[in-house]
Amino acid sequence: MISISSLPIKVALLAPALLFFAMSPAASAPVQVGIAATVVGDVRMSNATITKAVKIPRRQRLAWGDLLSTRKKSKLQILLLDRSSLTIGSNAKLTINRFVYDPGKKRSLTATVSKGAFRFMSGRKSKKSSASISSSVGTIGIRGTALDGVVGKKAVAIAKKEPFLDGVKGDKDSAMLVVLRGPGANRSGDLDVGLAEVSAAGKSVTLDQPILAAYIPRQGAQPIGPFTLSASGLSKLQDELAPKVAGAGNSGLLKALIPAAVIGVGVGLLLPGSDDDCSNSYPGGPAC
Amino acid sequence: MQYEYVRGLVAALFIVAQPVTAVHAETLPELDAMAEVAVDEEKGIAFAQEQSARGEFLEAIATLERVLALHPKSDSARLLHAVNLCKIDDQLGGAVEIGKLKQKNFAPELWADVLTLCPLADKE
Repeated sequence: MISISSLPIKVALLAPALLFFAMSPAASAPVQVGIAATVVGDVRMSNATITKAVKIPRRQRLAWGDLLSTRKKSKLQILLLDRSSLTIGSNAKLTINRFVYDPGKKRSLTATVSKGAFRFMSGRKSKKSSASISSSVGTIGIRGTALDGVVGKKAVAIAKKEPFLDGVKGDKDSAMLVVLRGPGANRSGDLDVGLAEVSAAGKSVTLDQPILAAYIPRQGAQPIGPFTLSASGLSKLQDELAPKVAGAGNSGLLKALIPAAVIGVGVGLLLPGSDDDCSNSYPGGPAC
Repeated sequence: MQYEYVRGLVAALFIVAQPVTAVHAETLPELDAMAEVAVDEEKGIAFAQEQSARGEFLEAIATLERVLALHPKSDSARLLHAVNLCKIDDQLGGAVEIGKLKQKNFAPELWADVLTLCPLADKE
């Protein structure tokens, strides 16, 4: 029999435990943070509930704790709610650890890449925004940035040809190469200048200009850099992010019809000093 | 002269530049629309152009990557991708992309415009 006098105490003791249970990931629905915007080839997902990775389609909902993996000739682009994007190339693995977005106020992302090439592009501006991508050898802190990286044997292969790295040996499972893509000081528009801090073993390397790179050759090693990635190194990294994907269309339709014209519109709108901007009188378009 | 040429094209193709999906996606269905629009090469390119016009160059690049993933031989998407890389001051990235294209496939005026935006492509 429950005595009236002890009830408030028991409720007081139980309430925090019940609240904790209600808020724990196991008890609540997954926190959906984005979608698989591009799925080409063999792209799979697993998580605490789906222990055996399953193939996913385009528009698959993605949540905290989801592990995404690609096989050969495959590619995935994740679109997050703030319109940031995370792309992985073939034979890659990425986990969305956490993503919190309060429109206009706050955005934070943590993700882990354990293998393969990846690209992060910031989305909408927030007053407080942070993003970090980790691998087994180090962490990248990101601010308002387009950034590419690669983990594993492809990182070693690219690093091997970089004169600055002078033949430093890397671990084919864990080496990580990171390169800032922009925005740089000579950017257009009101984008923030990009910045990335690559940290490992107590040292941080700052990447604050496009094409500056850092390399962590193995676990326990400090990042090397910053150095300017060569054109061939950048080309190889871009190829890793745009593999010859399975099931991709051949296109050519537009090329046959109005190639120069369509591109002309784009270039025209982007040309500095062009007053064509005012021809786009759609909602959200530039003010004239 | 070349600006007049471009302006004429803007007028002729304004219909292509109509908004094709939500301007500010913050819900999952809006992200769905952004993903779907890139399935169609032409619509995807038009959407990227809208984003560029609003100064959303990073998002335009992401859109064009979606288009290129599905239409890897789209010279139009690749050229716009390169231009947007140059707009964020990734001149080397833009030059690498332009290096994958053949100049003969584009109008001389257009190519000249692109090299104005991406001067490094002229040297690579």
